[in-house]
This record gives sequence, structure tokens and C-alpha cells, in this order.
Amino acid sequence: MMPILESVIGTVLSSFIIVIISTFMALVLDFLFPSFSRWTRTFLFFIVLTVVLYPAYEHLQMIRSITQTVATMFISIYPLLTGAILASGGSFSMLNFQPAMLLFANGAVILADKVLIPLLSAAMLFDIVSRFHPQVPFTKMADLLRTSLIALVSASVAAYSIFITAGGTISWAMTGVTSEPIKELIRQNIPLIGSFMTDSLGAIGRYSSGASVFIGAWLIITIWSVALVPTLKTLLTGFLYRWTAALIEPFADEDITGILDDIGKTLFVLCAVSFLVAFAFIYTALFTVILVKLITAVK
Amino acid sequence: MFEFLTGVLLITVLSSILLLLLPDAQEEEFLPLVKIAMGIWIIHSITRIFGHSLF
Repeated sequence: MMPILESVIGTVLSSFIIVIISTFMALVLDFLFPSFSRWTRTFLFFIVLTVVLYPAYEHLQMIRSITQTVATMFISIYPLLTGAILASGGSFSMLNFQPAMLLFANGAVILADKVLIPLLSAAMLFDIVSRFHPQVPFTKMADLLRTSLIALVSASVAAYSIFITAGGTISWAMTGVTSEPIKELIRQNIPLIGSFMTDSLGAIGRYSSGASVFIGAWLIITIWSVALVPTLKTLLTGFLYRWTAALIEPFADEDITGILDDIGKTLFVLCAVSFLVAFAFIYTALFTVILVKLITAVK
Repeated sequence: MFEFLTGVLLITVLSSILLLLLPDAQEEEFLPLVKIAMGIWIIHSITRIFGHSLF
């Protein structure tokens, strides 16, 4: 966990320090040359944009490449899994394997690749445009894009969880009474997507509990951490954006803090999208492992 | 979609640079022009989605 934290903070922190220092320099320049203030604002805006957009864009690219990898994995493994289910007959019925789930997960990955990420970058652009040129605002459009994205993603996760619970697999500990305070904490402290996160974690957990009969708990933990690392990275970066915005708010322009806040919000939504992809990944990985286990057990 | 976004970005950047260069007195006259340009671009893009062309 610690190396991830260090790598994320190491890549992002330097750009945020540049933002803080350049905002302060702009403040000093404004004091020295008051008539130059409009130019100072424009230059500061461009500096902040060039520095701050890069980590966000990198995260977009990262999630995009992950979705593409997962999509390729699906397409290559789908015929194999279907064939194995047909061949093995009764073994898979223990797990309530639903082929529709695989289709669902594949659809989600394609949705994320073709629709969600372009829409998210469009929302980011609209935010920047409306901050840069407040006379021609696009704030409603950006908000609409973000909220409809969240609605779309949570609807697909809800559909997943309906499929899983309909199968009647065993309930996992995350839904138990003991974890309720933790869920409440996450729900209240992560803006926008907190409740969505706990719900989808519960859905993933419910699913993998059924599979843990076949494969060891350590393997499930490995798959989980591999799938959730990008999500955690994105979440952490989003928080760093908001943290910087909070730190420079007293002495910076409304625009600069606003743009940092907006990019943070967009990254939270990206985090929700990556949850969808992580879920698809977990699903395929579990079934592949189970398939291999079954094949080796028969031998 | 991509063209629409590029257009929005171009209009914003060009108009904001022009606003910086213009004196304060003329800014009031220039802003409606920017809004008209943005409006034309948005309407043009929307009509093109439905298969019609404004121009």
C-alpha cells in the first residue's frame, strides 16, 4: 500500500507545489503592477492548466488503457469459458454461473471505453471553458454530463448486483452488521461517489464469497488488489486536487480554486467508472481461475 | 462531438485573447458578438446531429 501512496503523491505533489507557488507569485505581481492584473490572471490560468491537467489526463489514459486490456481479455476468454461450462455440466451450477453476466460485463467495458471516458473529458473541457471565460458559461452542461455518467454507471452496477443476488450466492461479511459504520464513513466522506463505492464493493464482495469455496482467499485478495489499484490511485489524486484547492483558497482567485475543484470532481467520477471496469476484471479473473482449477482437478 | 468541442475551445480562447487586447470601453460591445458566435456554433452543431445543415 505504501509504495502506491508514495508514487501517487510523488508524481502529483510537484505539480501542485508549482500551482501554489505560481498563485502566490501572481498575488505579488498583482500588488506590484495593478494595471497588469488581467494579463496576470490569464497567464496564471494557463500555467495552472498546463501543470494541473497533465496528471488528470494521465489518469484518463490509464483507465482507458485498462479498459481496453480488459475488453481484449474478455473477447479472448469468452468462447473458452462457454465451452468449458458446456463440457463440465454440473460443476458450474454450484457457482450460479450466468452467461448473461459475462455479456453484461463485456458491455460495461465497451461502454466505458466508447462513451464514458470521452464524455468525461468533454465535461472537463466544459469546466475549463466556463472558468476561463465566465461570460460564456457551460457549467450546466458539465454538471449534466457528470451526473448522467454517475447515473449510468450506478445503474449498471445495480444491474450486476441484482443478477448476483438473484443467483442466491452466500452473503459476504461486508454486508454484515459489523461493517456498517465503515460503510457509513466512506459514504459521508467521499463526495459524489461515496455511497456508490460502498454499494459496488458490497456487490463485488457478495460475488467473490461464492467463489472463495473454489479458490483460496489469498487469490481473491490478489485479484481484488490488482483490480482496485487504479481506482485507488484515481481516488487519491482526486483528493489531492481538492486538498490543493482548499489550501490556496484564501489567497487565490475564485477561478483557480474552482478549476482544481472541478477537476477533482471529474476524477471522482472517473473513479466510479474504473470501479465498473474493476468489477468486470474481477469477474473474468475469478472464472478463469476456477476453470483452471477444475481442469487440473479432473486430471 | 470532437469538432463541436474544438469549436467551443477555439471560440473561447480567441475571444478571451481579443477581450484582453481590446480597451475596456469596447468590451461591452464585443461580448454580445462572442455570445452570437457561440450560439451559431451550438445551433449549427445540434442541427448537424439530426442530419440537417444550417449552412
